[in-house]
Amino acid sequence: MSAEAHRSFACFGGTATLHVAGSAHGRRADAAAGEAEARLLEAHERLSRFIPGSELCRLNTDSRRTVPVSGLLLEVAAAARRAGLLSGGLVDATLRREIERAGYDESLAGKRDRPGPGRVPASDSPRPASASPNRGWSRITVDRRAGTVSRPPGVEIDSGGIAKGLLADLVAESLSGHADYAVDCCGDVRVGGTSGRPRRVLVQDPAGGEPVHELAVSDGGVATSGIGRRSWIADDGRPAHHLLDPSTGRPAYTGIVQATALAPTAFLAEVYSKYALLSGRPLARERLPYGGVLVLEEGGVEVVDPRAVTAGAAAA
Amino acid sequence: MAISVVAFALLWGIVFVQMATGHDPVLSNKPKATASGREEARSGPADGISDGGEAAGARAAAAEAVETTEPEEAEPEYAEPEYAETEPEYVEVEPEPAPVITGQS
Repeated sequence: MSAEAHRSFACFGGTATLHVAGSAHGRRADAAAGEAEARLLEAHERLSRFIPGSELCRLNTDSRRTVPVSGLLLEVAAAARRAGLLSGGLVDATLRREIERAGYDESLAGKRDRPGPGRVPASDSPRPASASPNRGWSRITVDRRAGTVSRPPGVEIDSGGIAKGLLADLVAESLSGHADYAVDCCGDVRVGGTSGRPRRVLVQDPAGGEPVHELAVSDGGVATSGIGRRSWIADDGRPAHHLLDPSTGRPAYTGIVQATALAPTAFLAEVYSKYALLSGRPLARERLPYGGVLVLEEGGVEVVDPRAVTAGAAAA
Repeated sequence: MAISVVAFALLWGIVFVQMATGHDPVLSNKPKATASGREEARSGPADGISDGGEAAGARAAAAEAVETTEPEEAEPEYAEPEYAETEPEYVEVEPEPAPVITGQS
């Protein structure tokens, strides 16, 4: 077997990476990786809220209640609703205005995060986040047959992390006939392949040191959410980051600075990782039903064994 | 012509007599050595020498002399070494999938 074809490129405000090995349906690994790269870049153009005229921006500024959209944006809207359902409203993809008010009003792509690498914003009084009473995500409806998205005026979608997980899964589907593949959309990873061989997934240290843990995944998704990146100094001089408490619209400080989740898909892993981080320490482990890794504010690392989570839930 | 025939017959006769009397020039050394060794080996006990060590040494030397003259023992058999004809198996080692990093996005 030949070595894997490899691509690494700027996308979704970060770096996307592709690994493909073997041929499928007469298509070689390098050609498949090239097609996957083109697909991700096209999705980025459609879904970025920092590109005026992107399809997402057009949807968010459209005054109509029901808007015809592309199949991709249809999936993103459906994913936004599902993320809210799965997390009880903690993973809320309708906080676009709140995040801009918090100071994240420009793309951080290619820029150094303002607190600096290795500096994780912290709070003296960590507390779990809670859902927004507006529940904007629950008012999004998708009509696949008609190809339309409906939402009340004022409910805007921020594709954010859910689009990365979703795209990792969609691209992975197109690579499913290859022996091995990995789609890494800026930390939202989908791994698989017909060989069934496990791939090492290294969990990054939020402080910039050596990886805090190593996972072996043969088929499934892994995603990491945290408050160490996409962070900045707010107007009031306090450090801020992009993971908001939906109930306040302010950056959430829950005592967890990074959560990594395992799941059958990258989208689910993305939802569970954010759900765990926003839930805070008492509940975070239960929010990782397929296992994961938590990095605590004081520096400790907790590895969550999925069997322990299942056993704990059964006992409860 | 007649002289040649006579000379040939004369020479042939000399050779024939030599051969018939056991004076083969090629084999002449071997029977002599064998005979002398055995004579020495037998002579020990016959002399009635009481020094057993000396006698034993003489007998050993004699026996060694005899043994070295046995043609079948002088040429050890050459045993063809046996080689196991096993072809080494070629196992293709597939490269491990490259690791990926999950970090904060």
